[in-house]
Formats: sequence, C-alpha cells, structure tokens
Amino acid sequence: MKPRGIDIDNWTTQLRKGLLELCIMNLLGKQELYGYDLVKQLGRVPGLVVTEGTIYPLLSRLRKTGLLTTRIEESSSGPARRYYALSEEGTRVRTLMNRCWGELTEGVGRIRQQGEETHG
Amino acid sequence: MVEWTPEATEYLDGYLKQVAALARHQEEDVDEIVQDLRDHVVQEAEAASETMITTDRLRRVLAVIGTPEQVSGFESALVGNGEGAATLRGAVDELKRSASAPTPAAGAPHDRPAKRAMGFVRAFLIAACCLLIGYGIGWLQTRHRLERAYDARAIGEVYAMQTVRHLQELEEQFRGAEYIDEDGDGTADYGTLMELMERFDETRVHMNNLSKWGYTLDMHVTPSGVEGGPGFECIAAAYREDTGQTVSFRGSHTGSIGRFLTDGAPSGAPTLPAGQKMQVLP
Repeated sequence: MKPRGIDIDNWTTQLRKGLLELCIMNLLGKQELYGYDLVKQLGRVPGLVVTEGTIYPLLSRLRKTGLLTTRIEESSSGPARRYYALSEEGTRVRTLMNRCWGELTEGVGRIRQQGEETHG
Repeated sequence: MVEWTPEATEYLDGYLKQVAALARHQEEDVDEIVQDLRDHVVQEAEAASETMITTDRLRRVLAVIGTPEQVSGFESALVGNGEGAATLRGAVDELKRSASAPTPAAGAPHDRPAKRAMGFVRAFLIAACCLLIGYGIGWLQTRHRLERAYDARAIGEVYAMQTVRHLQELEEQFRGAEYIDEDGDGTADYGTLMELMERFDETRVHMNNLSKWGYTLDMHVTPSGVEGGPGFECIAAAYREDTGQTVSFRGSHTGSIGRFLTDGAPSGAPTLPAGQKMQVLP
C-alpha cells in the first residue's frame, strides 16, 4: 500500500538524482574517467540503484553547465572514447556540495536519532 | 573479432533513435548522449566474449541500461507533478501519436489536398448560390417596380384619355345648350371656347394648371371649326424620361381622340400659378 500524501517513488527518484550528481562530482574529483567506467563505478554504489543509461544525459548536462570537461581519446580496441573530468568551476561546486551534504547528513542524522529514541 | 547480426544492428539503431527523439524534447545534447550510449552498449555487449551479438544478447544488455524513456530522463521527469512534468507528458503523448499516425502511404496526408480542394469548391458553390439568389431577388424587385410603374402609366393614360373625352363632351354640350346668349349669336356665352375666342379675340386659350396622373392638361381654340365657328383641341401630355418622348392624347371638335408620340418634352403648355384656372395667350 502506498503511503498517503507523498509519492515515495518520486521522492526516492529525486533524492537519488541529487545524490547521483554528488557521486559523479566526487568520482571525477579523483581522476578523469571514461564514461563507461564512470557508469560502472556508480553502479557499484550501494542503494543508489542506477539505471546505467540515465548517467549519460546527466553527464551531458553537467558538461553544458560548465562543471565538467570532456576530451576524446582514440582507442585501439574500438571507437574513440570520451573522458570526463571536473572543471575548475566543478571543483569549487563539488566542495560546496560536499559541505552541504555533510551538514545535511549530520542534521538529518540527529533528527532521525531523536525520533528513534522517542519511539524506541 | 565480435560481429553483430543485421537484426541486432537494426535493433540498436532503432533504440538509439528513440533515445534521440526523447532527449531532443528535453533540449539535451543528443549527439553526445547517443554516441556515449552506443559506446556503452557496444562495450557491454562485447564484454561477454561472444563472437556474435544477436538481438537477444542486445536485449539483455539494454534491459540493464534502461528503456529509451529512462535513459533520456523522461521517465523520472514524468513522475513529477509540476508544470514541467505535465509538459513532458504532453511531449510523450505527442511522440506516441506521431508514432502511431498513418504514414503517407496509408493515405491520410494525401487526403488533405483533396479535402482542401473540396472546401474551395464548396465555398465557391455557396458564394455562387448566394450571388444567384441575390440577383434573383433584385430582378424580382425591379420587375415588380417596373410592373407597378407600367400599371401606373397605363392607368394615367386611361384617365388622361377620359379627361380629354370629357372636355370634348362638355364643349359640345355648351355649344348646344344656348342657355345665355347675350350677344345673340346662337352660342352660349360662358364657358365655351367659342365665346372665349370671340371675347378675347385670341387664338389660344389655356385653361389648365392641371397636372394629374403625370399628365399636363391643355385646351385651346383653333381658328377653324365646324359650321363656321372656331374649333378646339384638348390635350393631355406626359413626358417620359426613360424614352425621351412625349405621349399625348389629343381630342378635337371633330369628336376624335388620337394618341401621339413625339420626341422631346411637351411644348406650349405653361404651368399656371396656383388658383388660376385660365390663361389667355397672345
């Protein structure tokens, strides 16, 4: 039975979508990545439940907003590969996102803990 | 070397076309997304070390990658309740409609020029009918007015002719009555044209300012008449502007009445001032 007053599927989707961006920014913060490799790494994040194909439009959007850069590298095993990396602006935004996420998780964790103690 | 069956290649192309169509609606960089996606699919499909990529194998790969709606971000966006979600739903419906719309070979678009032509023909026929009806009504009204005018003209002619005849008869009665004959000439003194002729010694006496039924009435004495006395002529004349002719009825002391047509307006019969019954002309 679906909970009344909120579409839990929609809420989860929106939450994951926001987190997905955070994960991409952090994965690319270490090194530039080939699209396929990036998708595979994201797929291994527990609870993120990534539909692999959805990553590419998101990468394209982040590149268009100037947070990511791309470069094409020829491949001996197939077609040319597109590599993604954080731009300077992307690096700055990633720092802000991580700070925000830290504050959020801390605040939300505290609230959750209080709630569990009350009902526990 | 991994090979693809033609069916699998065609299936992948169709899948990517759908992704492109949906991504285009979201103003994405379609070429970039499709290229990345193709690379991903190829890499994933060939990772199993199979020598031949079939449609079944491709379907299993695509099941993990996601449907075109999921990949293009449509599905998650469609879940929302906002205005943007509604717009996207509309776009999806439009795509579905266009996908299910009959192809040109099915005939629907071919019908459009024919329908348009039929519309023009119908509009032309309606306009022509309206014009014909308008002309018909106008013609009937004109004919009715003309008939009324001809009827009025015919009635006027009858009245004018009767008036001339009455004048003839009255003159004859005056001449034969001999009520008052002060000068003893055997002719009644008052009212007859003959006496007026003698009294004023004039040749023309107009005793009209009558203009009835479209006719001007005129009456005058002529020098020679029957039995040595003066004759007379009474005229009812009307000018017809439409023909430029004057129609007149002329009665004389001989008792005859004739109908005459002459070109131009009637001459000689002046309009008398109001209240004046008679005018003697030199």
